Amino acid sequence: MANLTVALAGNPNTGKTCLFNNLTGAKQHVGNWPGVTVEKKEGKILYEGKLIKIVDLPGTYSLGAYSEDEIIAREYILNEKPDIVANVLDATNLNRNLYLTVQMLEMGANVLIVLNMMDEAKKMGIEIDIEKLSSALGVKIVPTIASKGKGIDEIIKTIIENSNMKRDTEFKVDYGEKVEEQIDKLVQVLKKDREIIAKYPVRWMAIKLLEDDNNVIGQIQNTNNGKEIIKHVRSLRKALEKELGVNLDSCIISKRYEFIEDLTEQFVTESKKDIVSPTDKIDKIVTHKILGIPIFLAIMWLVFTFTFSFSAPFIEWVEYGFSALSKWTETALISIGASQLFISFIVDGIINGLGSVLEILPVLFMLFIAIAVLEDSGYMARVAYVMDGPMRSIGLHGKAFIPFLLGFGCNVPALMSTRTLENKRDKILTILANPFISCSARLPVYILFTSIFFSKNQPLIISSLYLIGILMAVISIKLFGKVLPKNEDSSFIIELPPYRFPTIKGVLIYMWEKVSDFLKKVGTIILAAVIIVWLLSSLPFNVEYASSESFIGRISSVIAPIFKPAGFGTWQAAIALIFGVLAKEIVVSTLGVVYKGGIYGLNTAISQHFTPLSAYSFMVMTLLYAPCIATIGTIKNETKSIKWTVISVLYGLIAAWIISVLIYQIGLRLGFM
Amino acid sequence: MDYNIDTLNNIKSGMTVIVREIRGGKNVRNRLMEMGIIEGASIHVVTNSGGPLIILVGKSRFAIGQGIAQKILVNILRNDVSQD
Repeated sequence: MANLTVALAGNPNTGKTCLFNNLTGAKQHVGNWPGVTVEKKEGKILYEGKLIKIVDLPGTYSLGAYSEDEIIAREYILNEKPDIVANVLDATNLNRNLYLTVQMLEMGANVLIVLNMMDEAKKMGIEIDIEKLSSALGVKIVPTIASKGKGIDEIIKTIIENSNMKRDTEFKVDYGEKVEEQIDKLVQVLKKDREIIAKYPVRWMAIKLLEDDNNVIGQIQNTNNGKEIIKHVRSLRKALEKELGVNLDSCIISKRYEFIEDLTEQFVTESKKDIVSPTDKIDKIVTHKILGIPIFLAIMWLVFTFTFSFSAPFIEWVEYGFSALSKWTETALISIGASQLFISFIVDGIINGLGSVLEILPVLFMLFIAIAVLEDSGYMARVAYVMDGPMRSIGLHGKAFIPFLLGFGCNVPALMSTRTLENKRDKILTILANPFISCSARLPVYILFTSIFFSKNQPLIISSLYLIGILMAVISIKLFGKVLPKNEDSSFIIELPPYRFPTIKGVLIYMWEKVSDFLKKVGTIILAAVIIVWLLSSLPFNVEYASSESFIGRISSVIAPIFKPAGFGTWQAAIALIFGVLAKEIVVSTLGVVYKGGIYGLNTAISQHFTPLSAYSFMVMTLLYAPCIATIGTIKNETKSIKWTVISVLYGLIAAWIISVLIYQIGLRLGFM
Repeated sequence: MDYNIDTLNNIKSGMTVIVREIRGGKNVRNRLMEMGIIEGASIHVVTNSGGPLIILVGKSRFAIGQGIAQKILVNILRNDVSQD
């Protein structure tokens, strides 16, 4: 049990995640694009015998009810009631950052302000009278430079000193005489409801109701007098808006800003220094009307060239290493007199099965280094800007492009990043199309098959697979776009963070996070699949290993004919695809187990059982068919709908079958082999 | 003060304008305001060349679609217009 719970909250790009890492010593990646923390993350620190739990909330501009991350952050503060909310502010952008602070203070949270990026503020000539601002807000303020680790101890000390702090006066923003009058009346009404008093700060509730906050209205509906209260509020709003002549929600937001401006005018001085920011200079080029897209394509080309050409020699090393390992192990096991069955398990099962997957490791190192550089530099948000035009032509907008870009790494975080899309329709379309984007787990399959059949034009063949994936994504968006009802509120707005030099530490943390995820996957789900496939290949006892008489042979022979029109009707291909749903790398590890004889043996077996054409068709099948289990789970989580999850899986299966059959049949007629 | 009124999507690159009113549905309106685009805020248009605009509001840069820009009513100072 933690003695203290601290929530970290703040706008996107305020250095929140960086601070979290500094506080907890965790190695979490810090991105430079809005929406890095889409899920709340936890870490723990032990300080002078106290255990402090730190929860990193998603970065939000507000605690309204407009996006899921805002609701996550708000519900955590309301329901879990952390002892302290450490609110991270960007000192160079106080007015906007304080907006969130004011909202949290209104919720009655015990707020501690972490004033971050003090060095940048100083450079810009911004001076903040911290003491006076602190006493005006009634909140402790700790200045920090998270990127350099400055002020971290101060934060922990202040957290411990203030964990039991109770304000002597309730924090209040003055909303003007007429609105205040109605707030007071509403408070009286709400106070009669015990359920509400127990759960929510009453004045906050009254303000939210006047703001017409959907989330609060939804929650209050279920209380005893909920329906009556809502009815009452509706007429109040109407009367007030008529009297004031403005939208009540806008009026309330403006009043909060007025309150903030009043503070910053008193306590913040800015000596105007006109620096032409390097960000604007870079933006002039990379967001150029004509050059923007070619620059983006060139960068992507560089990313993939870098990934594949740098990793190629290492792949050979790994291949050689595993082949040597399996020979050595076999000899060693024979010499100590291990049973035939055990040798087969270790060599054919574990080493060959996992080795064929681990071959991909060098590619992953390079790919994730490249993606980390893209994310950390701040370029990711510019991609959204540059791709807005093309995305519009298929009925989405630029922000929906980020999930596709992340999909080249892994579809799971890509799908989670769809949370930053405000519009439900955009979100569903992006989710349905994303699994077709070729993630890194498909690479072992491409690399295995292209190295056997297309060694001369490997880059061309692999690029064509990526293109087929992208094309299918586009077609799916068009297709489902026709079915889903249009809503006009598809507005594009994204913050463009200042460019920052990616740090080596940051890039390595990111890469290691992804690679260790992969290694965990190899050690758990892929290992388990390897063992099961080996067992099914070895049983029943008296049959030849991995023959059509073994369990695995018998089971998959039933399914194999389905794939015959696509060119690969063997039971080995069928079983690889079936197990591949667990994780697409398993397609390769399964082939490694059922075609025994070491990694080089696997190559020989594949060149006997496939032709170049059927190999291509098989790769397309692997690319397009059902998403892996983790992706399916994420689709379910993000759409919160079994219907869409089932549609996504079935759609993938059917589309994959049709397209690989078309490729094989047309290829045959064209004279390919 | 003497000024002309227009919507943000019609403002040329390099000009600075003051937000006069935000139209459109509650969601769009509130989201803009929470990002600091409020009545009275000054907006510097960095780029406006047909696609989304790049604007500078206070210290933050935003890419913003033409559609939403159309909903933002701004004041243009007269001498800014004559300079153009």
